[in-house]
Amino acid sequence: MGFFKQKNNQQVQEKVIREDKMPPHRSTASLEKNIRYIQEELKNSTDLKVRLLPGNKQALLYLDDITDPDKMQRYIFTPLREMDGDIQKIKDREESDDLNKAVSALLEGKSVYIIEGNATCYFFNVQQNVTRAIMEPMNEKVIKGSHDGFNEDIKQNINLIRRRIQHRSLTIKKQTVGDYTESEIALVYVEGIVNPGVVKELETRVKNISSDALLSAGAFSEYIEDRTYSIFPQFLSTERPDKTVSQLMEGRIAILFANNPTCLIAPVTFYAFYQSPDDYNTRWLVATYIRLIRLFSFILAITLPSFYIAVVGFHYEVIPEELISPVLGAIRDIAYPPIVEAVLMVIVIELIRESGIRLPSPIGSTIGIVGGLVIGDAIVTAGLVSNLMVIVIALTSLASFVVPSNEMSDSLRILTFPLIILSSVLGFIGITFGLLMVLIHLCRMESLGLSYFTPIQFRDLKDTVIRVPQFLMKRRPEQLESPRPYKSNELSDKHGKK
Amino acid sequence: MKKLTMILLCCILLLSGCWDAREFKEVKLGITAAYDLTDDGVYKNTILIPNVQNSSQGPGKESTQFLTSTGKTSSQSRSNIDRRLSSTYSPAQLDVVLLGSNLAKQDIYPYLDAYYRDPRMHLDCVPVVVKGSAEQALKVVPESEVRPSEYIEGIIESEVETTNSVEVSLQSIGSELYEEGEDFVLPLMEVGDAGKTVSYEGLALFHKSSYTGKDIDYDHTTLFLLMKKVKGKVARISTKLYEGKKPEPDNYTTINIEDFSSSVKSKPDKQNKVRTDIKLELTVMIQEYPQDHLSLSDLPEVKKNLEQALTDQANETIRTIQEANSDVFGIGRSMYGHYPSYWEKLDWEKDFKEIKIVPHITVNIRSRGIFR
Repeated sequence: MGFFKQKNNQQVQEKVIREDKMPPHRSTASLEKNIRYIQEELKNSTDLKVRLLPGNKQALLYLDDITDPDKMQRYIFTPLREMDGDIQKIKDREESDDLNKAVSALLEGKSVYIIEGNATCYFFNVQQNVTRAIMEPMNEKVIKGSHDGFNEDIKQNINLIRRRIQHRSLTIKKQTVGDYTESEIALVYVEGIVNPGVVKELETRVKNISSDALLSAGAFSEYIEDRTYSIFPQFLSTERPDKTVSQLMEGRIAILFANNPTCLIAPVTFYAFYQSPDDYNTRWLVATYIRLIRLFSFILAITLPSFYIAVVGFHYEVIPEELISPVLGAIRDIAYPPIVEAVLMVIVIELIRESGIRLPSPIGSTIGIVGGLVIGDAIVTAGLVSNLMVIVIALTSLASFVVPSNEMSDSLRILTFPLIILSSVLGFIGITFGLLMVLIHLCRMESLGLSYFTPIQFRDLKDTVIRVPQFLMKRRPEQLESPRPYKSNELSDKHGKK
Repeated sequence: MKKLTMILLCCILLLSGCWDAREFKEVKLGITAAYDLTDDGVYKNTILIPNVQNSSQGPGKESTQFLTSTGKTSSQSRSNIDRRLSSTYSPAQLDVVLLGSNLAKQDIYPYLDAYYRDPRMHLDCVPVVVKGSAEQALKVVPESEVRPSEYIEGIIESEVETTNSVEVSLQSIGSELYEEGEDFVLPLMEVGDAGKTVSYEGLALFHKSSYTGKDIDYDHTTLFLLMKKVKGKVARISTKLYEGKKPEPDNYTTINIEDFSSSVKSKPDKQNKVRTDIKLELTVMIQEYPQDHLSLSDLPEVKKNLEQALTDQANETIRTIQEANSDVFGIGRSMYGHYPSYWEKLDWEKDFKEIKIVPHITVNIRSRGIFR
């Protein structure tokens, strides 16, 4: 495992000082000195504009690309004219005599006003907000229910949550991660429902992240998840506010990121990846039916190819009599052993999927047709892969796409490979061993210290494998050990009994 | 060291696994096998192997291949077949074993022994006795059949459904092959139509592990099976009710058995050593009564005649069974279970022919059909 070990002779590098922990640098009364200091600190970036006002006694500094000229006009120049050029009469401002604070302010998109002979700098918030409109997330569409989704603006995202939970217990804790990037993240939870131990644990883990940059939600989860080497996702990621809110109300914690529409939810169970907001919007019987199909698809996605390989490679006794001739006819003239067929087909499907993702949609659908129809048909006619194997692999990938969560779907497709290999060398015994390993791993896993694969007891079945009507789901999930275990105080609900 | 151990462990797992792989496409599956005894006293084994043409469109057309070989034992003749095949012969999907009557009259166990020992054999396979040569029956391949390899199996399945044949397999006769006190029957077939078809002829009575040469006729199988508490999806019996009516079909009726209960009770008897009562209660629907619409007032007479006719039929069957010395009702086993000390004194090999078996058949006519 030398690959993963830290090398002892790693170069020692200087620790980066974060913007908010910079030691103060007192400003002087000299305008020129102050401007020079700021210019040097910002490495003479060309987007730093220094605008000397008439008389060369006052200067306005700002970073051109992140400030809004309209706001500057409205909040600085117009009031300045009205106040006869006296900056101290403008109310909406901050001030400091620390030049390092001024640099930080510039980086945040504020403009800095400096006056010759005055050591105080004045900051005006003229930040330019670049936000996308609220749209439904592309990969989490629902048929019924709210169609809004998070976007890159963390304020707007919190707004969407606050509007849904109008209670003083909704707690939002903002922190920054990354020494250079200072990315803002927000932990959101409902005090009184969430397990306080879990919050403390999460806060400790976030505090201990040491990195120059926080680039994505996925990278963030790798810093704080319990088992980084696991194949299964341990944080539920979503871009839907309604899904986030329902998870918050169950007692989980949401982590929002600035400049990232993804929201991570923890602690989660395995089944959370199989729940969709649609389930709570349709009739419970329909929702149950669909849930069962999803769970069935989980089993199908990981075992179908390996089952097929085991049958034709080891246990052809189990083929029903009526199927012998069709199966025999299909695989008789195939040159390769079934495992090569399977791997080939899986790779073809992955190629089609991967090439389709990043192409613009008109070309993307062409790729689907070329890949799916032409290759699928030709590969069978050419005798490289049997048509049964095409059916098996196509069904498998369909089943893996049924999962509402994208990460889980990816995990499933990876999981197919070890099982294919095991089944091609050991048959059914191999599959049994493989599934046993997966099960042991799932049972050992934890999400923020709470068990990931909570025991399937009858009470928890109500919202995992099936979905019962709302009035029967009175308890919050057992896994969370919430201080408020019931969703309602009226335990003997009169609903439905007249 | 740790690394080495891990690599070796993986090798043990993977390499030994690959060794055991048996690819489906590299075997030739026998679907039906026939065993005959030649005049020289060696076994002749014929197998039917379905071959499928490559089929990227649809399931493909099946062609059949026949191979015949001789050998001292069934395994030897199997190896002799294997020598002539491009890939390994595997009997793992064998559905039907045809046994020629010459061979069946000897001991059938030696031929079937290999099937019981190998865990990969298909114990669900149906043994069938063929009057005359089994090889000839195997080679009957009607062109109208889509899957010629399933022809004989199809015949048996449909006869089981209409309560003319029992559902037997190598597994179900396994214990009866050797144990005393119960015998079994196997389906009996014969080549007909000048070698163009194979027809089902009834049930062949076995004693211990050899065919007695006596059979239960096709007409009597349904009643016999009902007494044995076996009923398929449908059970129909046609029987003669009257004498001398004109036209001839008026003498007959067909009943459809809707419900039945049957019990076989045996007890020691001074006169006949053992007395067995077979009680059979049938709830029937009249399916065919060509004479007239069958008025309610006629019903008691019909019921009486029906009971009489069925009892006669049952007596005839029982006589055949006793002549064949084939204890298919398991009377011996029942005696052994209930009266072990009495059983000690019996010589079942001889006594079975002497015991008294009395059928009691009652018929309840539930319906005369929707006609009236």
